Amino acid sequence: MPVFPETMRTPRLRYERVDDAVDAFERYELTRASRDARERETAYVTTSPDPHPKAASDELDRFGSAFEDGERATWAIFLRPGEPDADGDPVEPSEAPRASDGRADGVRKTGDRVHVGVANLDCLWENRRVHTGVTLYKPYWGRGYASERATALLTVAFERLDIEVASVAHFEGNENSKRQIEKWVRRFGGTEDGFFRNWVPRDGGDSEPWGLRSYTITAADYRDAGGAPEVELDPDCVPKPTDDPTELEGSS
Amino acid sequence: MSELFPEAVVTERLHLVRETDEYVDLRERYESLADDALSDEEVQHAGFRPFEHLGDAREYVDVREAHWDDGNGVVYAIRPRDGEQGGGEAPRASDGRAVDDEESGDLAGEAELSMDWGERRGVISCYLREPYWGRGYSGERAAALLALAFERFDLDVVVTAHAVENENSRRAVEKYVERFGGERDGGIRNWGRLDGEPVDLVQYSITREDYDESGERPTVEFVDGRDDRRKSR
Repeated sequence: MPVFPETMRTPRLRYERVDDAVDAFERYELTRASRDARERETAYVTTSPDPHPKAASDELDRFGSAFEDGERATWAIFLRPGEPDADGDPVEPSEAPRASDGRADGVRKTGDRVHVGVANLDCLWENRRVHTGVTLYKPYWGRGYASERATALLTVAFERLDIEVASVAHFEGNENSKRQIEKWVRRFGGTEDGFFRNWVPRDGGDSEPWGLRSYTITAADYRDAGGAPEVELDPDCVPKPTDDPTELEGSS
Repeated sequence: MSELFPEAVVTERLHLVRETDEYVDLRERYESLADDALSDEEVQHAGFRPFEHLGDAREYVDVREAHWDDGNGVVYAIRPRDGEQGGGEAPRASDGRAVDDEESGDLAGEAELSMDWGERRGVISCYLREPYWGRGYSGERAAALLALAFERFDLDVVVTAHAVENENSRRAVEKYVERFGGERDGGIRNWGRLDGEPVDLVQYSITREDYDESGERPTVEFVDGRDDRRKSR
């Protein structure tokens, strides 16, 4: 049994282990290299987009193994019913419609499964430390979802895994990440640890390396701040992908 | 690995089913390509050796199943749908283990889509048994695999080739390459092998832009297998 919860829920979002929740084609659609509109979203990420569906499939397999092995948890983030856009994923005008996935009318039909991003938790067990991360797709920026997701990851770290320190970092210049991180680091009483110059290679070493600004929150900080009681781990009522969305309302 | 390719592809007249024991009975596969079942003309252009014994058929199917497991391509058996039996041949009795589609007829041949993922390039090929020649099946199969390659897998280009001497293939390929706006890339010497000997090939390609601009949208249905990822856990 994995050490991580397979599902989680916060007031506006729900989370499912990504290799269960998302298939190779959905992941490819969200990350593919040829999608010009996504380029600006990837200005501050180290991973390269999946160049074809097979790469997306292989990556999901790796996420699944890392989840099982307790090394790294990766969850897909979905909107809960009632959120704006919760009934379909807006298709960007620059994208050519593709008949194969029913997007021809401008909205990709996703039912209750509007996939807005990915949350991840890396475990450095011997350091008793975890590192938190998030990727949000652009239409969902500016809604505070990254901060909301952070409450779930801290709850996993401190209440499930019994870890001492959770860290988070952003690259120099990424003002969006800086804002969302400062917000929740403040709420949980964390500290900014410093700014590390030339800390992360960029484009495999071909470009100017990233500088990294890093923050930590300790278990004591988290408890002193009152924890995050709004987070549910392993909730029974998270719908499976094929369920009717009305069932969630009935059971919650 | 998660499933990428459809288990079956259905076109107006053809039912393409994944080449695996689950859907194609080994004995039926053996009989369709056994040494004494094939005409000289079929053998001349076949990209395989006619089967001498059941072990040959076993090996043939094993290679195709391994291809599927690698996620690098798919091979479909071609079965004509209702009313499209082989030229006057009596249909073989099905033993019920083959595809549970009453419409499906005999094994008419085979269609392949192989991926060079890193290049975002697909390679398509097919053969048909002689009774099924001249019906436009090759073009219908090609259209379905092009739709699969471009609409589902988002590939940049699909290529195909035929042996220089193979006039039947040349006619079939030229027809669908023109329909989808592709082009003849050129002749490549000693690029293929037939019966152990190198042969010259002619290669054609259709790009995604060609496909889009042709305005052709083949009528095709992809049937995916059950997703047993979650169940297996």
